[in-house]
Amino acid sequence: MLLISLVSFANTNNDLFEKGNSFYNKKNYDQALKTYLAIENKDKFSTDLYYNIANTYFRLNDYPNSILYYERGLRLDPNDENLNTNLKVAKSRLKGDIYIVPDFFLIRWWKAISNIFTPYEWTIMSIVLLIISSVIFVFYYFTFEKKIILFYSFILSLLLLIITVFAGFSRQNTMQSKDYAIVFDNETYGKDSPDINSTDKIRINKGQKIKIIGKNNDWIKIKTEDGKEAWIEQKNVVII
Amino acid sequence: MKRIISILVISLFGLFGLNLSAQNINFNASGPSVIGVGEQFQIRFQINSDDVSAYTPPSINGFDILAGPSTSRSVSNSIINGQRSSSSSTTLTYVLQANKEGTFTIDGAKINAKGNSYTSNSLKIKVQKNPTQAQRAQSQNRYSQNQQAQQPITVLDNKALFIKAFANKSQAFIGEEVIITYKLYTLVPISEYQINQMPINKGFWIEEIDMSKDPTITSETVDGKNYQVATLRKVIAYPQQSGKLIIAPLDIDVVAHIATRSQRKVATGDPFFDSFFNDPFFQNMGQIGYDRVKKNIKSNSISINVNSLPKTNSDFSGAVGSFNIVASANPLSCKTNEAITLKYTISGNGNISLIDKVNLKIPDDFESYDPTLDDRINKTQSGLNGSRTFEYILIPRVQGEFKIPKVDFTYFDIRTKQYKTISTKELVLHIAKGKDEMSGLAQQITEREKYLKRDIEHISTKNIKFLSTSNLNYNKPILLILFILIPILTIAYIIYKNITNRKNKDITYVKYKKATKIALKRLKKAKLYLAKEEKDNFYTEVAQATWNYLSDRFKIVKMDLNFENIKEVLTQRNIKEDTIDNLISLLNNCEYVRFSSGEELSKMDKLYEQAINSLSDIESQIK
Repeated sequence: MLLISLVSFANTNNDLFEKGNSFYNKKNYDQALKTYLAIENKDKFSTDLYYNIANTYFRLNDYPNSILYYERGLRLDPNDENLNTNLKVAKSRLKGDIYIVPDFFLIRWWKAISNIFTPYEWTIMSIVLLIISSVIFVFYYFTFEKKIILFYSFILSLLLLIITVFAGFSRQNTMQSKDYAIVFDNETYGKDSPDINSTDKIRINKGQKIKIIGKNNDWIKIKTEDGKEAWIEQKNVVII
Repeated sequence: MKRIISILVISLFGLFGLNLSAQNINFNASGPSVIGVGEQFQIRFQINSDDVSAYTPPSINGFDILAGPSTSRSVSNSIINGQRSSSSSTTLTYVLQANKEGTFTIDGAKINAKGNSYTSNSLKIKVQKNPTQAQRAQSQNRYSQNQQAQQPITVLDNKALFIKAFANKSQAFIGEEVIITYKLYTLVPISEYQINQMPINKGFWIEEIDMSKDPTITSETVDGKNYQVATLRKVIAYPQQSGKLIIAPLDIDVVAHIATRSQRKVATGDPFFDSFFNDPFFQNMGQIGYDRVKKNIKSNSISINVNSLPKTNSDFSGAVGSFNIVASANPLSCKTNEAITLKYTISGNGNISLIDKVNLKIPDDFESYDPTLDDRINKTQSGLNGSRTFEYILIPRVQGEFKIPKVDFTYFDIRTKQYKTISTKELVLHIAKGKDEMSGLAQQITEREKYLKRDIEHISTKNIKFLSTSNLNYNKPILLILFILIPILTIAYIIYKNITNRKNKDITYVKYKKATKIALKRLKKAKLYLAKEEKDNFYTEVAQATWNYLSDRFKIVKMDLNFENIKEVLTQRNIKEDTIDNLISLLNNCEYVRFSSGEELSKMDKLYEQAINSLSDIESQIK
């Protein structure tokens, strides 16, 4: 009895998803959105769900929300081709040019590496490497010949072990990150200090992605994609 | 400590203030200061309490009393735009007529209120030959702000409540700012209002001035009546075509409070007062209550004469007002395929929001895109002011020095009623040779243009697996256990192996020592011969001892001993091959070495060594 109800519960989410898809295909975007968001409200999500929601917002010409959901999908799976392409298309529809300062190249490399596998995969790899390292170490310790080869093999496997462990944490961190947000206010001016009467420092457009680097009551300190820092009110952004 | 004291003091004052305002009774006399002979006028004695008794009228000399005193009492709670105020008052009114010229004083009246006695101020009235309307209107304006109508209003007619629209000019040019103000005039308390429909003003561009703050309320006298006036809405209207244009009426619903009469007979306990209130003439002026009534009112329409602007040869931007223009480029020098930002800022007063372009001619050597607009425009009570910036991104494709020509901006100056052309300076850009691929901003912009033309990929339709936030957490305890367990196991294994190795080594060592002892014993005799340098005896003894050892140890009859079966037996007993070979060579050496050349003693020493080692090895390897 319980098994049946569990199965049927799991199916309803997929049913909803299909229902949403059929609305979308009939160009009934409002209904599609409602249906998709109902799944999200149950705290169930996946990259495909986010992708479809974002596409729906795009069709409704709501580019900031579209960008928000592409970014949510990319938070889970940064290498997904469709998400990346569509995000670029949605961003191109925004007004205002921002020069995106690329990260320091080491950071870029590390991010690229840690994004290859899921945290689960990294963990399996690190356990395997741990076993391998231990075995090599035991051999190194007890044999009297080929010491040098064994020594370097041990060091190598140890290094790989460290990399897999950190990569796993790194990827997990990215997936759970709450540091990035999209600006939703029409006319935001980033201020010098967390005060509505402070001087305007920079202009921020709707749909822009920012990183949250500080907080003070209702105000947050942010860094824009072109590297500038300022304070804005928390209510003007939605976290990815 | 200081803080606490000051807070106490302030709160006390606050209480006091509240108290005082509750107890703050004023008995006020009012009337015109100047009137003409034969004119009729009113004087009023007003006290802000309804708990009154023992009224003593003043002596009124020099005037005829045509009517009065008539008494009106009111208690009202009104809410004007969320502000509650409560007031009660009693007013005694006389209608007088001046008969002769001169200056007359009407002493203060006396009255009791809330147990205390109050005297009003006296009135000094100058009577002159010619009545002056204006002065009378002035004196009537000196009434207090909170005064309600002279008589309580019972009918909500056009005189009691109306809305009037004003324009700050009746003639304008196309594009010239006209400020339209809508004011609500009322004699009765208003609790709310609602604009039903924004009027559609054909031929105008309307900018709404923000009236988010509560409208301020002032007093104005119109036709002898003292109105409360609130400014409900203010807009900036820009006429877009010439001719006679109409500002349509504003349609609003207002909820007002109308006085109703109660039929109840009033009894104050004071016979003098009761006689006033219960007089048939004043029967209708009993205790007064208020009803809420909703009324729909419309403002007047206004017509504006709009003139077309005079003809001009220059390239008119459509801007009317007074402006400045500034140009900037950042950076001024860069390499090819890098991006430059050009900004043209038009600032000033007038119809800024209607300026849609600047006359910028970008040289063909640059790639450029449609500009983005950045507005900082304020809608003030006197029109629009602020700035609009046109931002262009340029990407130079070739190197060289390029001039961005000056930009002319022609607007119609309202003050001088003439066209005025202002220009920016020319900008000079230095472009050096850069990389062939685009870098930085230029590259991103070009890529963005590429995506601007694309559409999105289609939605995903496969059967997907849903996660929840708990799935995102990969810290499964079993993994942590494994991570700790494996190194521990490894170390344990190492320690274990070490111990057994050592043990084995010890055993082997002990065994070997024992074996050596046995070998030494066996070769004791040989050692003696070695010491005595009896070479023949030595060699014979070594061989003998070895064969004896083998026979004893391996239980082989001496007669059967030869190289073959010795090998066999030893191999059977798991003696290492090396050791067996050593033994064979030892036995051979015993024969041959005595005939070889070389230092005798060292030969003998060597053989002795070999014998010891051989026997020790065999002995120690026997399980």
